[in-house]
Amino acid sequence: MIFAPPAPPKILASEVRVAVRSAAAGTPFLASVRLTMQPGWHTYWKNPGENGAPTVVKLTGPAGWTTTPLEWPAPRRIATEAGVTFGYEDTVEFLFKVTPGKTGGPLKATGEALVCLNTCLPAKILAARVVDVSARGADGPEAGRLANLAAALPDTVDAKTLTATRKDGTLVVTGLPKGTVFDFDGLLDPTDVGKESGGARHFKLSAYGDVKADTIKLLVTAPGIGPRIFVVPVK
Amino acid sequence: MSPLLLATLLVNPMVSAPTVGAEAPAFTLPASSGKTHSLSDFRGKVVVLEWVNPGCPFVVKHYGSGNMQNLQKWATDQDVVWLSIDSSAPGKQGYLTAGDGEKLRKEAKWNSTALLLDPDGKVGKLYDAKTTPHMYVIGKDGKLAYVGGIDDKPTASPSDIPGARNHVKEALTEILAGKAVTVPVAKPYGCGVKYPGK
Repeated sequence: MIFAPPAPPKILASEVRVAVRSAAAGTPFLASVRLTMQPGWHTYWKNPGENGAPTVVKLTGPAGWTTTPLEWPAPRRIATEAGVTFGYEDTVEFLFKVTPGKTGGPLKATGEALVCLNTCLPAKILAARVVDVSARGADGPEAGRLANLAAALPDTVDAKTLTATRKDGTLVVTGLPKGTVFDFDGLLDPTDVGKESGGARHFKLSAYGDVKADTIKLLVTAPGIGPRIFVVPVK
Repeated sequence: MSPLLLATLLVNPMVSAPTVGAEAPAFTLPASSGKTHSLSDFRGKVVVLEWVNPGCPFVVKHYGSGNMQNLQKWATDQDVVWLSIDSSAPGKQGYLTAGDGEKLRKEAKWNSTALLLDPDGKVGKLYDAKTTPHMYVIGKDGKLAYVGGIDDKPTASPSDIPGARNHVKEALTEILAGKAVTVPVAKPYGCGVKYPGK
């Protein structure tokens, strides 16, 4: 069968990690879905870039439990002859805040990831972990590590002093700190890193982006500074 | 490289990606059938170019479900020329020899006019093909009328096909009815084209 999707062993392993030994009803705790790929392989951020597909991952608890929506960790720019993409190499851990209900049960991770190196393979995300509910709850050995991961997630910061102006196929952004810039919604050309000129960053607009967007959500990463998200009004 | 293709590249330097409304760049490529096809052979006909990599999950989505073959049949039944083009380099996912290509076409019941082999990626780069699939529709006037994704659901899940808006079918329907194409450009999605390198 030429069109049967190839399935080599363990291109992607998924697991659920939790910060608690047991949870207390109504008291939120951190949990993660950790994806481990073969060394060198990668999967994708929300905006995958020139190709690829965003990773789809959900964490759901038993009835009466709630989980926050996915928060994307800062990606890396992955450029190969096949194009420029944004994603995660080797491993990625998606964090969720879970508010437990009155009784314990399994936290289930589901979803799909496209895992690529020179070849792209689709992989299912499927993992679960049973979390008990006790009167007081108790932290587990992963509490500190997951708290650190949460602290490393991008912070959304005030972008009121920033401006973005469309001009002949480019977007000129002023007030943006130095660093690597990623755009969440694919408005910018993924191959362009944003030339600095006259105190502003000049980005080539994507041929396929939403031309009517009135804001652009940018993530800036720089060595030594936590990743920051700016939602910039577009003129 | 064939002398013809070389000549083509010399008169059409790769200055920028071809855009809708512009003349579709000329090319000549060998087909898996053993024949050689030039775009100019089909002047006066509507031509679809489909970048393909049979190992790519997004391509598998459309061929495993029969969606691509059905669209090829629907189009070629209306005298549309459909050229599937494989720009995977030797040793990379989706690379096909002529023999493997013929076998694949038969086994998976492709209905495209021809499978063209572009292992050095020259024609892929000439068209700035980014993904598999990446679709181009050329009007009877030889100008590009549609460039982009096959539909508006950028996933590898076959379950997304029934609810998708198929941009290629829509563009072809409009062209064949003598109408303007409503959506001439859409974001291509899929695997990166496995061009030579590294």
